[in-house]
Amino acid sequence: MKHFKIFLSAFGLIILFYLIAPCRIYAYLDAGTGSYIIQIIIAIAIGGAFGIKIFWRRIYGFFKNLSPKAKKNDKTKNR
Amino acid sequence: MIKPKTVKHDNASFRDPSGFLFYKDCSIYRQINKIYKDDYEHLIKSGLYSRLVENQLLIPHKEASIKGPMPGKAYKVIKPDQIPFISYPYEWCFSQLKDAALTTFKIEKIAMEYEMTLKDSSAYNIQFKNGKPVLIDTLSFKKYVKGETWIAYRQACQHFIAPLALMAYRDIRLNQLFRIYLDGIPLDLASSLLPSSTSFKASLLSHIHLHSKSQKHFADRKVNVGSHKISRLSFLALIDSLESTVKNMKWRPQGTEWADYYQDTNYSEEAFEDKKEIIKQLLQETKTNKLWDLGANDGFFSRIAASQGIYTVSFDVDPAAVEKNYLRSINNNETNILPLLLDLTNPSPSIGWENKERTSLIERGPVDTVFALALIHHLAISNNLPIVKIAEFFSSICRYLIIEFVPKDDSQIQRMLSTREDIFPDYTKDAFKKEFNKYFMIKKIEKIKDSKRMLYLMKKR
Repeated sequence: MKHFKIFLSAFGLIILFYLIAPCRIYAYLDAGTGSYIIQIIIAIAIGGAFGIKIFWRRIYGFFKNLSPKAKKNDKTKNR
Repeated sequence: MIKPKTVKHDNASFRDPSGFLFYKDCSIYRQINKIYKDDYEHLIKSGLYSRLVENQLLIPHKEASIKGPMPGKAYKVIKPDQIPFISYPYEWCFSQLKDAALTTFKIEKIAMEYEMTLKDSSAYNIQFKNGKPVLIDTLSFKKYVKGETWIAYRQACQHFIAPLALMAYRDIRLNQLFRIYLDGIPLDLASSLLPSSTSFKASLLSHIHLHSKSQKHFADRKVNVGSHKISRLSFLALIDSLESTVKNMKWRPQGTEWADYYQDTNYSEEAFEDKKEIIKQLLQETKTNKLWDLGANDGFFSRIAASQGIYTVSFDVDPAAVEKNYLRSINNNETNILPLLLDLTNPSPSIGWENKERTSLIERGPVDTVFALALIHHLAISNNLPIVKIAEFFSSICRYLIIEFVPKDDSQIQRMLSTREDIFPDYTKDAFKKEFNKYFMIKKIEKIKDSKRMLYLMKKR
């Protein structure tokens, strides 16, 4: 519950931050101010974790490709 | 030059200024307007179009040499492949909507590799072709501008996240809200209907509950929305989060009225086999390219038609039966069967702007042949529909009808009548023949072995 409150407070702070500066969005769909703001908050909040996920996926992919099984598969594919 | 009389605008294609669909000589075309020229050229030249078409994610098209109906605005006219049957999200089962969502997010991720992004994420932009969901709006792409947010985010939440969450965590029937809310389910409504436990799922907390609160908070405020940019990584993280949210939502078909229908019938094995054979024979006496199987349950008899190369739309009222039918079609890689949800006593109406944007079931017909197997007693007895009304309705949607008559002394009807008064003195074989004869010529009558039921082949008068 404590973590949940911290999470909500962080959201509140970021919302306040995004209230300050001006800009316009051009599109035929109306994104809606609330949707625009929450999207920025979520995207920033999860961006770091996503970066780590991509990093580990690449490491995993690298070692997977080094395995004899993967090499064998590659040879088969190249035939 | 096209004569105006031969051209008809598509009633659902008018919101996007980039272009519109029109019909000419029974074929569908899309005019691309000059304002979309740069984006269209990038779509083609970047290789994105080819990659998506190769992966069966986008409808293929050919550039046409005809002029569009609004030549002053036109940059090009393209002829997309035709979709055999247009269906809508309120007719889809859980997994169909889920697959439509995953297709949209997959397309967005691929588009980003080519510096493009989807400018809308409407569930109506997805249709089922060869058994798979494809994007049918070629003009949905725009060039990605570094730092921008995803303009289609709200729509993605309203069209995919909210309905799927409601179906998975509250009630499977809540996709019917699509019939009322054409632009997806309002997030405040979704938030109030979802169980409070969903607030403890980070994905639903952010994409629905906080999203709805944010919409409400900023709705009546004059806010100069910040000129803030989000990095490409954050943009992709958002799409990845939406995709994971959808992947994690699951629903298992069970416990509904019809889900285990074929385990609970009164057919003997012999009768069931005979019914299959008769249907095969009757079908061969029709000239059928497209067929609707009404009350198809999990699509057992639909597959008899589909196996003969007939494009079959397999309708049922039960979400669990449609889900089973769809999952089976996916597992078997079936390309010419489309399971859909339909309450025949209240079929999909025409809705949207001018009541024309989404067409009714009847407007999407007529079809060559209709199967109405073990259905009439449910319409006549469970729903009090006079036989003449049923005959009239069937005559409006098909040329050939293969219909099963279930007599009143059948154990299924006896079960139906065990809890209610028999107010159906006109439900007889003779009355059935007499009323249907007004609209159809009866071509063949076959008795099903080891059963009191009869199969009729009829041709519309």
